[in-house]
Amino acid sequence: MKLRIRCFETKETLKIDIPSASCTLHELKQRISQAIPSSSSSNSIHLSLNGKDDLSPSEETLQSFGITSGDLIFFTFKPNGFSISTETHIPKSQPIKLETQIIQKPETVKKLDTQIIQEPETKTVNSILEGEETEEFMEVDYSDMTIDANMTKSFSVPGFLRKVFTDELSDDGGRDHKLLVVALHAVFVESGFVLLDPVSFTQLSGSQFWKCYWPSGASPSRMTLFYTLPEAAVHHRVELKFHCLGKFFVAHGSLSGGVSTRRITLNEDQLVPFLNVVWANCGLHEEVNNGAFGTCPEREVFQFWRNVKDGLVLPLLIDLCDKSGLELPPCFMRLPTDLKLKILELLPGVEIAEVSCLSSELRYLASSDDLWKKKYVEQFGDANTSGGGEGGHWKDKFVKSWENRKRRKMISRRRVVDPLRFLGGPNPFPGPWRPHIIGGDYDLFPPQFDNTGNPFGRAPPSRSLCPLPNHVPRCHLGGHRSNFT
Amino acid sequence: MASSTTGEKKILTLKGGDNEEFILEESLVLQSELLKNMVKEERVSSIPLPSIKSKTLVKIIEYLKKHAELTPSNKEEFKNFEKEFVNVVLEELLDITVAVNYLKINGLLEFCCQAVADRIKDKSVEAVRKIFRIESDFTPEEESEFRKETPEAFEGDLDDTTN
Repeated sequence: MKLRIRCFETKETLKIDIPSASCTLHELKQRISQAIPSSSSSNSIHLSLNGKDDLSPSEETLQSFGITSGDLIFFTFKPNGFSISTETHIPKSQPIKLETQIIQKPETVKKLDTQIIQEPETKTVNSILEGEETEEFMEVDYSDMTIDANMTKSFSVPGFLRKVFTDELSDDGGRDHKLLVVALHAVFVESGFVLLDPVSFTQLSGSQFWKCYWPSGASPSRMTLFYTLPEAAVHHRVELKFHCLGKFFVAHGSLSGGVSTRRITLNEDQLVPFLNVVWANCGLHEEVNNGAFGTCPEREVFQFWRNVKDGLVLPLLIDLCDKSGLELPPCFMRLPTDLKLKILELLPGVEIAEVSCLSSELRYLASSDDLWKKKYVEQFGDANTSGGGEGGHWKDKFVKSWENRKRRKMISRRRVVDPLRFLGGPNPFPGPWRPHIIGGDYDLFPPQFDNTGNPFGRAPPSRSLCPLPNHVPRCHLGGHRSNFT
Repeated sequence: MASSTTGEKKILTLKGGDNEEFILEESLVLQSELLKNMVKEERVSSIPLPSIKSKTLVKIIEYLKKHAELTPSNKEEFKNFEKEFVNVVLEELLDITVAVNYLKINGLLEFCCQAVADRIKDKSVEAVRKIFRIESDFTPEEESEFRKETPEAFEGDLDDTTN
């Protein structure tokens, strides 16, 4: 089985292969010390699953710790490497972290202000990241994601949940309705809202969330969350309250002092299992095993996000902007999610891929599997018969089929052009051939005739004298194309 | 001011966001599922629509009138009208789309959404960002990562993909 081994200090990640799960910790350490040239001896290596607690004793097998293939294990050479850095630095660094998250999501906020703040803030976090690593920081450390290629591929936990979940639920998860409240909170934060202290109405940051709002024994039916926008005046706030009706969990929000209430009802029984899966996957970056749940948790979470956004967050955002005289969020982002999806559905698949590069909200929106399924059927016909294989995301299938088709097209085009290669002389078929060759993307690439790569080593004086213009650009086209991929 | 019945035709008052009032025949608003239900269930004669700007409401009423006049003979004319109808600045088009969505005027909604989609089509990421005032909240690393992931969107290879 394969394990990912990450250095606690440098965050370097290695993949090592071990024979079986019955391998002991000691053997694993030996493998690591072999894999790292600079390491002194296997005895000085300390391993940890969560970056906090050492795994010991060495005689135990990996199996007994529940380690399976693909797991991530931290190692350090410092005797107390794990315990020291977490205990001393967590309280100091956590508040900074959430602030940046809010600032990193400025889609609904005026650009100028946030940009100014963003600069120094990101720097602070980066410098902390370099100095003192804790497990939780990995979630915002994007440089880390590039190291491990399959992490970004299997982006199964929506970003907006991952960030807030790992912050707020680091120790105790499913207690009371915490999971649901935090998921709601995540949508608010994603839309640009900031949380306020319930007493002083100052803006709160990260880890204070539970201190202020969730003292032990509190229940959500007795609490009110206060949100505002960073630019809004302090007396303009949004109040979010909850109550439970059996399995239904109702969240209702209104402007402070306002009359109109926006409410959504969530089916807790239905949602919590899925949120649990998401939460459990937050630290792992592993693909969720769809088989275990039948339906895809991503779809459920997407539905949840859509409902909350449309029913609660967007109306409140617009109310608040109206009241405090703020500029409304950018016009397109203000559209209800339903409409945005409808508009996306009307775009061809390739354009949807482009839209997903616009902003994180649109990226999430454009990742909807249903949407891609529709596009797949539209573009390639029946979803059941065409290739792509079983399971997996429709977007991946779309991309695959798209590339297949492109390849086929290239081949068929080459077949048309090939005969000319053997003719040697001036193009003997000026009439029927040319339009075919000039069409398509052939004429998108200008250097046809001044191409110095042509086999004669000189620029042909004119088209009629050039014997091989038709396949020189063909080769060039390949090179040109590769610049994009 | 609110309501009166002239002959057979019922008259209805719509109140836009800026308290401007629009008086029109009830039969016209029946194209809107929302208003239809309101009129039927509550027998109201004045409907406040505070979330819709008067300017937008004027446009929509204009459409309702034209649509009601649609006959097989003036189809062409109606098509042209539709084309002109969505030929407005983006902000206004989106306002109309939102209002139409709220009022549930189904035919028009499809048309508006298509019009919005057409404004995204065949444009670069940068252009769409500019036109729609969408701010990128990606880090530079994410940005390049995502663009790598979806190369087909950046190839400019707008080959016909239908054959």
